[in-house]
Amino acid sequence: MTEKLPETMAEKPSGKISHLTGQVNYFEDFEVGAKMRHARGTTIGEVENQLLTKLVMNTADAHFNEHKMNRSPFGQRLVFGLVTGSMVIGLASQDTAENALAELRFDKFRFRAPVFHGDTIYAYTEVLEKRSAEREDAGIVRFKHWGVKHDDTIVFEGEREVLIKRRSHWCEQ
Amino acid sequence: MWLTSCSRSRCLVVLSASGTGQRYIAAALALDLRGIVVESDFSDFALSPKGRFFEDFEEGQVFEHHWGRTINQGDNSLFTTVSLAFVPLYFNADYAARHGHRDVVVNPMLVLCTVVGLSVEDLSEAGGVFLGIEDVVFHQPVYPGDTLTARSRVVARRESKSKKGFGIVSWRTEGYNQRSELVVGYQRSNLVARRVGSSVTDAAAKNARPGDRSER
Repeated sequence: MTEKLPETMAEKPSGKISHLTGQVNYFEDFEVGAKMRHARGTTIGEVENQLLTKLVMNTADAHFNEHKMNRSPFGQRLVFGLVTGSMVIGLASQDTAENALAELRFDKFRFRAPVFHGDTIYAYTEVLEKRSAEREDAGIVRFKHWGVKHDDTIVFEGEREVLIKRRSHWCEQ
Repeated sequence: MWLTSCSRSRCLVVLSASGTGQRYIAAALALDLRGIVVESDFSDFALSPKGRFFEDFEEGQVFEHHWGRTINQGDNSLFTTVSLAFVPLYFNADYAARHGHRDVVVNPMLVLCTVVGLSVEDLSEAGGVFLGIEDVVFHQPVYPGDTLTARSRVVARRESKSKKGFGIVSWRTEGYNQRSELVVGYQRSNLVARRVGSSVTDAAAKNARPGDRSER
């Protein structure tokens, strides 16, 4: 790069970290009952289903043997339920856990309908509960997440508790 | 007898065939160029079965699952980015260090998926859909280089009223690190195929494989 950097970019990094994450998803920002429709969707293909299923040592070839599954009642490979769950919680994560200190619990995961290669998944979230944590710099938010296919079929639902930073303690001025 | 294919060193020869429409009941042997049999009919090869059926579970039964899995940084980055989990603790080591971690934190969903994955052959590979997971608690962070192992206990087993040929089995599963410390625990339930009579086992019985050449 030959051009002189703009003044602000030539400065040394500030050492701050709060600029790396969003400013609207600290613990203080979540309100019980708030509903979020997450912006991005994802189509499930070989990378999502086949790669992640194998990466996590799931040996069930219903997820990666198209020849066998052609002869099953499903007619094709099934997407591993936890791949669907991972994608739904992933799609929801920037809005719900970008400022997390930890994900504490998942609960009531339901795999309500089969997902196949080529299906597109969107994520929806409702804030169920907020409470203080043992540490004063963060609080716990309980979310309910839904995964919905392009044809409006609900394929996944589940709850999740996240320990989220308080702006008052973590957002440098 | 006729030649069906030939490579540089081997020829596949159908020795005898009785035709019924498009189906041939045939024995196929591969011969090398001197005419010596080097492979036999794959239908002679006994299936090495995997997975357990509904009848194979009883309450209280404990499984120490196979293999274990060391989670490395590549696993964590790949899983986290492919699943769009935009939580910097999982992919920015400097950011994680500023929060008191010695390395990036392994995405807890990867921890859960790996512990489930290690349990699949013992619990759910034989077929039957995933019904649900309850009460997943992450007890402590996992870091790249940590090795996960898994153990499960059968907590409930009952017939399925709605799904012919299936039962419902629930297991309590725990995942441990290399220091035998609990990192995750949960309960999961699946439909599990009976040994005979389920759609899964019926489909498997007619599933064509190399060795069943008449079906290919």
